[in-house]
Amino acid sequence: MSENVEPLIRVKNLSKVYDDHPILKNISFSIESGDLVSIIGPSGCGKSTLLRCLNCLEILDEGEISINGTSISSELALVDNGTFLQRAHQLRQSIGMVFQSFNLFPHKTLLENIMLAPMVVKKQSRELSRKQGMELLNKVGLSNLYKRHPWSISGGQKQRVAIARALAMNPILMLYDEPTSALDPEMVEEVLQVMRNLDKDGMTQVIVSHEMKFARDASDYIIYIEDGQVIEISDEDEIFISPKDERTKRFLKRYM
Amino acid sequence: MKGLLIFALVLFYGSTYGDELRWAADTESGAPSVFYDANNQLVGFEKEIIEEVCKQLDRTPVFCQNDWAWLIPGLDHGLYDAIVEGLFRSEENKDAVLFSIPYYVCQMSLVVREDDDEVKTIEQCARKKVGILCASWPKVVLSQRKDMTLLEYPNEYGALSDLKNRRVNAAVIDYPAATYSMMAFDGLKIINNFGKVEYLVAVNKNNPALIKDINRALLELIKSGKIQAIVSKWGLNNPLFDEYVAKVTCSGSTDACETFKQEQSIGKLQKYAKLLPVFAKAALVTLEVSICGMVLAVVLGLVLVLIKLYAPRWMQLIVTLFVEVIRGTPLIIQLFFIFYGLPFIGVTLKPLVAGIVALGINYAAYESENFRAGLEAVPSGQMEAARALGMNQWQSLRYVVIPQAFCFVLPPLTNDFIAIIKESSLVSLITIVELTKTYTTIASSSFDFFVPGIIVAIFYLALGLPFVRLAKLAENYLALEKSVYRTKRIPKKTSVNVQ
Repeated sequence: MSENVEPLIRVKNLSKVYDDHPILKNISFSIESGDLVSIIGPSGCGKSTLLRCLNCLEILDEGEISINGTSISSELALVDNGTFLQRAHQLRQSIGMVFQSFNLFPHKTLLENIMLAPMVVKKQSRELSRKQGMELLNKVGLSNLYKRHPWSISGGQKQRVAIARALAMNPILMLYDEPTSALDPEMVEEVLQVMRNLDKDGMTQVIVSHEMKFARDASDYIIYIEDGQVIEISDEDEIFISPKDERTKRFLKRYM
Repeated sequence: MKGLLIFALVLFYGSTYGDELRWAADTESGAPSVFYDANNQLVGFEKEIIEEVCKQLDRTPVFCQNDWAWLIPGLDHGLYDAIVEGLFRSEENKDAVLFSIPYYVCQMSLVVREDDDEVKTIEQCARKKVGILCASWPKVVLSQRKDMTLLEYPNEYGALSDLKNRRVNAAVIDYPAATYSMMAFDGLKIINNFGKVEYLVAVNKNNPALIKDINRALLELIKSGKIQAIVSKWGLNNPLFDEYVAKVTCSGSTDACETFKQEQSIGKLQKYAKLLPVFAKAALVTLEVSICGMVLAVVLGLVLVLIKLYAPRWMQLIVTLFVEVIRGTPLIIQLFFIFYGLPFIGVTLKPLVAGIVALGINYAAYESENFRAGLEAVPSGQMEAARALGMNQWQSLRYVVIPQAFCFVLPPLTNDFIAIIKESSLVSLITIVELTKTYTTIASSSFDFFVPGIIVAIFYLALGLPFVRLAKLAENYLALEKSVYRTKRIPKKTSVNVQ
């Protein structure tokens, strides 16, 4: 992490409360362009909420998020809600998100799933969207299934289409919310491979995952969260071999 | 046992040949025939006449209320002995009952708006809209003229208020009812009287003895001038009545029974075959009202539900109130309000438009709830995925959520379509002649509720069947679509409505 480069993501003092229960407490970190970062932690620690905050699917209660120079903060929401919503909308357009339950559009074919957002949001022509959609399907190895509907393909294939769909908006950042948790074990690898390839292309990726092996092998570094707080930010090998914090140690023990 | 039999016999005998004479009329807008006055007393010139008849026959009059259209069926069922309410003899009813000699004769009155200088006679109503009462003598007479559009109303109020509201150009009503209605309606005038109507007492066709008694009594009353006294007391004298009275008092030989010649009626099958085109035409009206009403309901329902789910709070409140009011009040009230009520604030809709609007608004309230269920059945992840891809709320709804909700909504929507076909029968109450109206008109004038009933049922089934089929297709389509939701589902996370 060299100091002269402005990080792609900067999270400052982020807090989020659900019904008086603090989910995220004063979280700060930054991620640089091109990094692949895993967020790990026990269930209910707030890691998914953190990811959803980054994509403005959840509205932050305190603090500031700055992504690629666009910043939104809890103060802005209070002072000028219109601008806040506008910026949140703007941010979402440049961030791709992949969900645990895929959330593919069941009424559309795989190709149409990918074509929809560029056509609706960017008003891109059908021909161009189609061409781009086929390229993306090819990239995730599914171009032969472009006519199929989501219900007729496997979970791993669904998640690869979901990644292709997110990539169609040319995001500068990809967020994955437990992308392999709903998959059968033999399908996990094909999804992870797509993410490795994206990492090679220089995409910035943030992954909330229980996939410790992948976190260790592929991540540039790992953020460990427990009880809504960042406990440890470490190099991927360092955290697995010699975790600094006692809580990290206890958590990782169960996975190793 | 024997005692019981005697008791039953006495009862039977007593009820059939007792001292009572049960007579029926419809008091709804019955002035001056038979109606309730301001003190809630039953009055009317026909009531006084039948009381005089009873006095002559030494029987006690007992009044029975029945709906105008159902007076003759009631007579058949033995609910009462006689009908005394401006009944006339027509092709349709002449074989159904026995008629007395006339107790009153008058003309039909042509009513127009006071500011109307154009229409002076019924001939000048050609190519104009004329309001009449259903099952009235003017209807029988004017139906033979093909040059005017006739609108049928259940009562004088409907016809005359529509005349006032300029939905019709003129109304034709029996002279007594017209004269008395003029006292309640300003801005209208009787411009001309024409034709001839004879008011007769009707009794069950198996009771010729009673009709003979009544005829004898009526002759006596005319000769003694008692009926004339009642008529002039009610201010209903007219030249035709005077002519009739003069004829009776001179010759004294008006025997009504003479006129009951059993004419050979045309073959039944032929008669029913003739009904088919009439029903087919009416079915088109039913279909038109239903389809237009449903299209309006779907569009309006969608607007309502989107406001309810996504608009600012104050708009949600208005929509919730609207939906509750519509769902909480009878459709028939809404229909009357729109048709008869809105003209008070200057909104006068044509009958067909009013019918479609009433059905459309009513069903829109139900459809909006239907749509809400459909929208909520779409997993929240779909909206999130669309928002995460950078679509705004409307785009997410338009391209992702609504198309999927539509699949959930289609089966109940089809059901409602079938329901609206049936409920469209209510628009017959605002002069639209559709299937149900055609049935009641044909049945009540020919006194055959059986075969026309089967015919109309077949027509309704035929109209609904394509939509039943459509529902089936939709279900098959859905079975395919829904399989996507059978995949492994994870527990929903608490999600916040993303703005």
